[in-house]
Order: sequence, then structure tokens, then C-alpha cells
Amino acid sequence: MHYEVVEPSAIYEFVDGEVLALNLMTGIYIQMKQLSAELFHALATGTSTEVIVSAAKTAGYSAAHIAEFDTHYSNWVALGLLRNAQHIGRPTSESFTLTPALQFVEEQWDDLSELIMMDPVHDVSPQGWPTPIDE
Amino acid sequence: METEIPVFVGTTSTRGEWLQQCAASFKHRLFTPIIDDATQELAQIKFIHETFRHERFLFLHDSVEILDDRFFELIDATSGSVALFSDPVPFGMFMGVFERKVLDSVPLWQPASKEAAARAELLWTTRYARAAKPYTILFPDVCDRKAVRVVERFGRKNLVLENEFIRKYKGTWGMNPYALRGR
Repeated sequence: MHYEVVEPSAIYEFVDGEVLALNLMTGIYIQMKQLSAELFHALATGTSTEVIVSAAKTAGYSAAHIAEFDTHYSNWVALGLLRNAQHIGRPTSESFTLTPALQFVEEQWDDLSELIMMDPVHDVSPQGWPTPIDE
Repeated sequence: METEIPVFVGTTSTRGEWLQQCAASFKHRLFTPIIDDATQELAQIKFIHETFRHERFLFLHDSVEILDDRFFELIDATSGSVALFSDPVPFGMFMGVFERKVLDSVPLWQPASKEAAARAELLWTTRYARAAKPYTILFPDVCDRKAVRVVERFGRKNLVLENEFIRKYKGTWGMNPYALRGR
């Protein structure tokens, strides 16, 4: 199975082993490290779940640990970051390798969601940005 | 006595008129221009951080003018990280006082395109703001929505963001999360 980033409503960057992702429709911001970041980036760049499982086995992850992967994929879909790939024949990265002994590390927050989601034309009060119209 | 915070101004080799205008507005304060044709603001902040190793520094664009020298008194009186503006999010436009200890704790990268730079303006600034808490937003009222005039300057149309202390000429505007998500 392949996933893809839900563009344009979700944006992300993978840098220094860290994923920074933002759902522009909900304002939820997600920071991922270690296994979470490697798996998310792999999926986002077209690596299939089958290739990831194979790489995880090669890297020594236990069957129980690998079984958790789907839960995280589903969570990223639920957060509006990923969806099932809509284009048949997306390239599969045959050379994908996974770093051994990583843990899932994810943090999400929504304290800027009101600002991110605000419509600057219709939702702003006469006092101006960033005061919402109902304040 | 307050310590003067080092000031850096990001520019390119083709923006001499902008830099000249910016420099002319600095009455009593020195700044260091960061001249780089290949990088965006985030990469310039990365360069300053890794090269100068200041505890805190102020980063500005060459498209600003300082209208009142008391601006620097405000800056020097601050502590911690300071977002000049909150448009579209705190530290938007990448302008403000950045701290070494915070920069050490967040990823810094070089956006490879204008689109990547636009993503970075949301992703990196939000990440920095999160790591910098508590931080100051110096001019929360200065933003695209409150700008009232567009002027021609150095061959382009600019939305003018300003208050009594600072003026920012913005060549690209309406760049906010609402527009980015394509609604």
C-alpha cells in the first residue's frame, strides 16, 4: 500500500531526522522524531508499507513492534496529513533502509490553530488581525 | 546598562538600492549585511547562528526602514526571543531577535525553492516559537490585513506594513495559511 501527503492542506519538512508537519485546515502541528519521522518521511516520499515492513525486519524490529506501524499510519491519516495514494504506479523506493532500535516519538499541539485557521477576510474583528470577530 | 543586540540585515547582490535605503534609515546603529544570492531567510539565520555564535541577534530584511531610533531601545530592552510581527504566525517573515540556545535546539535548513521557503515560514517559525516560549511579539498589529497602501519601489509594487518605529515593504503578500491551503 502507498500513502501520499494530503496537499495542499498539509505541509511537512524532514530535516535533521525530524519531521515538522502542519495541517492547515485544522491548525494542528506535529513534530516527529526517530521511528515516527523515518516512517512518515518514507511514506510521504512514496515508499510502500510492504517495503517498510521488509526493511524493519532486516533492521531487527520485532513482529510486535512492526504491528504497531499500521496504528501510526492510521493516526497520520486521521490527522489529515496522509491519505491512500490516488495515483497507481507511484515509484517504490527499493533501497529503503530503516535505522535499528528507534522508538516512536511524536508530539502534537494546537495552540496556534486559531491563528492558522482564521480567515483573514471574514473572521477578523474591526480591531484587526489577529482578533477574531466574536471577541 | 543594556547591551546592544547585534543587528544583521539579509540581502542579495542585486538589491543594492534596497540595502542602501535600509542603511540610510539606521541613524546611530551599525549592522552587518548578510549578502547571499542563493539562500532564503532561514538559511541566512542558520549562517549567522553558525558563524557568529551570538547569544542573541536581531535579524531584519533589507526591505525595512527604521523610522524611529527608539526602535533599538525597545529591542535592547527585551529579553529572550522577540518576534517583530505575528504575520502569518509569530516570527513570520523571519524577523526578530533569535537566541542561540533556542536555535541550538531546533532544526535549521536551507529551503531549496520559493515554495519550500513559504512552507518554512510556517513550519520553522512555529517550531522556533514553540521552543522559545515565553517570547515577545513586539508589534502584533503590524500585518498584511492592516496595511493600507501599496507603493512602487525599486521596480516592484509593495504592500507597506508600518507603525511609528518600522516600515516593511512587502513584495509578496496575502501569503497566509488560509491562502496556502487553497481555499
